[in-house]
Amino acid sequence: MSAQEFLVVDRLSRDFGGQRAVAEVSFTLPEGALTALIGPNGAGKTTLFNLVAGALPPTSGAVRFRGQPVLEAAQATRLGVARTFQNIRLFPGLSVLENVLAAMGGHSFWQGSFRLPRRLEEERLRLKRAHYLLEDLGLAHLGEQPARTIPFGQQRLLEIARALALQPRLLLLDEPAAGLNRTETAALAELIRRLHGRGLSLLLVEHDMHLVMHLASRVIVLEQGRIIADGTPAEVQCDERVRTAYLGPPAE
Amino acid sequence: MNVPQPIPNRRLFRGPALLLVAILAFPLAARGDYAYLLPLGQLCAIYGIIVTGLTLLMGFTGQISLGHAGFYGFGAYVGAVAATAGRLPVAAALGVAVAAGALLALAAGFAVLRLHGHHLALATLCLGVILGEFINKAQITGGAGGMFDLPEITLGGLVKGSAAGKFYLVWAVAWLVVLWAVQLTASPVGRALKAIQGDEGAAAAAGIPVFWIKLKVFVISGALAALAGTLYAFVYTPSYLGPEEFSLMFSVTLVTMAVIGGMGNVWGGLAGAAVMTSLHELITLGGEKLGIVQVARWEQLIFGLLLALILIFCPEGLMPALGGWAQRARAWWGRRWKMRTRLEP
Amino acid sequence: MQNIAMLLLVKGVMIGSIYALISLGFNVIYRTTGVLNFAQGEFVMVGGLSAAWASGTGRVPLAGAIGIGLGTAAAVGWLVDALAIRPLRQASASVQIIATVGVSICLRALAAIFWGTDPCHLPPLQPGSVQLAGVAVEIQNLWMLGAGAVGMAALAVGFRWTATGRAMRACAENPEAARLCGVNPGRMSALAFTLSALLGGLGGILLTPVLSMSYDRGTMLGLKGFAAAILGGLGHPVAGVAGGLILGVLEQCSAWYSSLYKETLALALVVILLLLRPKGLLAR
Ligand SMILES: Nc1ncnc2c1ncn2[C@@H]1O[C@H](COP(=O)(O)OP(=O)(O)OP(=O)(O)O)[C@@H](O)[C@H]1O
Ligand SMILES: [Mg+2]
Repeated sequence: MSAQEFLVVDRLSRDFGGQRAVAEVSFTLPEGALTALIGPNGAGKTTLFNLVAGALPPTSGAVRFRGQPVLEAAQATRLGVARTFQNIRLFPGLSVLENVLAAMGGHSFWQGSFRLPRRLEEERLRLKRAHYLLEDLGLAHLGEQPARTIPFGQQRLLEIARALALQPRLLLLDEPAAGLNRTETAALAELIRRLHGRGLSLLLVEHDMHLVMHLASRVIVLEQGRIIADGTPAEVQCDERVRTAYLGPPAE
Repeated sequence: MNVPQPIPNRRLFRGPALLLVAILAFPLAARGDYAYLLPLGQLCAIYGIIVTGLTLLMGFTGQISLGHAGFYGFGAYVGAVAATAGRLPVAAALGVAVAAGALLALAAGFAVLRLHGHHLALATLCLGVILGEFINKAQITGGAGGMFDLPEITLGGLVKGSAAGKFYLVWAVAWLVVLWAVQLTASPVGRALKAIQGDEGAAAAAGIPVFWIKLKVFVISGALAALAGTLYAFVYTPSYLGPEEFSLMFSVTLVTMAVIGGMGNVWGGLAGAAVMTSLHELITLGGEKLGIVQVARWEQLIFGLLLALILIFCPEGLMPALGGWAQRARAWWGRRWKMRTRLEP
Repeated sequence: MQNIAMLLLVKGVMIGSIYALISLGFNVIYRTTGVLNFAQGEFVMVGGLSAAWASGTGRVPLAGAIGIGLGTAAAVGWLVDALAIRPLRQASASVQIIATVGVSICLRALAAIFWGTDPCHLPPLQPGSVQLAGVAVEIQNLWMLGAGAVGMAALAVGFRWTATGRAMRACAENPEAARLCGVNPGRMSALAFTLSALLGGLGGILLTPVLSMSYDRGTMLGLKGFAAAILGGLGHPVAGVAGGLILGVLEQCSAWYSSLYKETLALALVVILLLLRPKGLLAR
């Protein structure tokens, strides 16, 4: 497997009724990259995320991750792709800790049927991992609380914690800074940089241009389901089509 | 900060241990004038088995089924036919019936578990009515006339004909089912089920194979209902098996048991089954004591009213309500205790 | 052959119009309160039985009996809301649904106590039959269709163009916001239950002369109305009406194929339709 084959998106399209939300999108990501995906509202960023994470079947085209085809959401997580949602989707009835634990596997009915010492040991290990993960993100003190009762900013973090519990190689973050205040955004940027520093590859959808330009080494711009620009932040910022897409056609 | 620990075995198995004691003691108390309580207790166990499956399916996984009386009847009749026309020994017939129930649930679940919410409710409702109609009209089930004189499970003559023996037999099965369900729901599987109930898309994103897990739970609940059916046929009333028990309304009653008891854990379902089963008896008994004539005519009405009252006063179900009262009582005692200790020295 | 097809179609549409009325009742309550009312079929039974009882006493003319039937049904609908739904406004949906199950048990028991368990009859609004596309159709059936259509039309107009109708729809969309705009969800819920019981009662009165009525008929009728509403797509009253007509025809066809298993066949077809169009037949 060459470095180029980490994530391959190959002429991917997705229709909703008559509308083409993602149209013939192709790109590849190398391992270890921190890439941003931007575009105006309705450009198809979330749809593209859903396709990459296997949550939606494509109309045509394919996604491959480390040489394996992405077919379905749970299978994608086994390949090493984890994601967060644009509108936070936690498990409201579970506690903060359980939200993280839910992503740590152990779903065998057979093994769950007998509470053997071995199983308890595994569960202890899971609890320990979940606890340290929460501690790492500064959520450990909330462990017992129902997920729906904690503040918005921490729900965002918890969603990231749940994704990290899958021990992914590629993390897809859909507008992680939306709705956060300035300190929270700064802390988030710090966290993203820290995760990237540990060797995690990230693909980031974000409207906060400041954050994007700051963090990402590469920016892909989507408009009406197509890639209209792809390059370093500086290149993309100067691109005429990107300016048009965001600000409308230049005034005469 | 301390690393959290799993629920200790002592706490987890306290419930099943208490249940075991209650099961062992019940026939000792239900003697003489109260012997009629034994068949009632058997029925509680049989319904408890079904409702435990339903609690897993509805309370944990969030998938409604309004057709479980169908699986229940299916199990009873497959077992009965296998034992009579099929000439199988009872134990084998029981195995065949449970396997058939699981297979039917597998096929049905594979089709209908793609549906959600009200659509799933309708599909399972249709399934239950279809099964009920088969039972009511097919040749092999004896139709509305039912089947007579089925072989009985005797465990080598151990429980032959004795109400207490039958009681122990059905409750042994029910206890094992409960013991298993308690462990399963305390394992990561229980968490996965609640995650699916919370948000199927997010559960998939957390690596949970949503459809397969839903299917497994559906199959388990179908098999449990079929198992309960065989117990009903071979233990509870081997002399006569009729279609009345497996009507559409009984599917609804089963769901009602689950909801009334509280669907958050296994115990709620069991409590709901016990309450709903004994309501009938309580009403009749109360009517006799109060000297009301023709209680039977009023029974359904009182039954419906009690149902509404329970819901109005304990909308979360009886078990959570009881838990809440117990907590309040303990808090009240605690305050009294503190006051006394403060006054005494 | 063609004649049989025509016959099945006509009879199916006639029965289907009753299912359509019941499904409409389901939708009225569901859209206003979010409750799935399992006592819907009992409204039909109450309407039919009370009218039959009034007419059976021999002292009330048919029109009066119909009035009594409609009035009783509406009153029962209002009472159900006041006694069972209002105290449970804050409870979860499944609890509210089970509460309506409790209500349906009560209503059935009350009906058995008041009117006994024997089937009751009601004379047709107008005896006789007419030829329609080569098929003899009883005039009562036409009444069913006509009254059903009028009821639906009135409802559609009311929902769309009256302030109350708009308020009810607002309640369904967002009860909290509706309350802030001065809509009283409690009143709307009472109205929805009364209205939907009225629709059900109408269905019962129309159905009784054709099929007779007894205390336990409501359950199956309610199930059919439920199936119709879901087939069309819950929350879409017009689609629910279409669902009712489709169900009626499906049922007649399966009855013709196998009278013994007509229920089985019709409901199996419903499941298949559901699986083919998991969001409702007419949903986009
Ligand atoms: N489930 C769906 N059904 C129908 N249309 C959809 C669906 N999901 C997305 N779309 C349509 O596809 C297009 C792309 O939507 P998408 O959510 O991917 O955009 P986005 O780039 O994430 O926008 P935003 O910045 O607002 O999040 C939009 O026009 C949207 O209306
Ligand atoms: Mg988006």
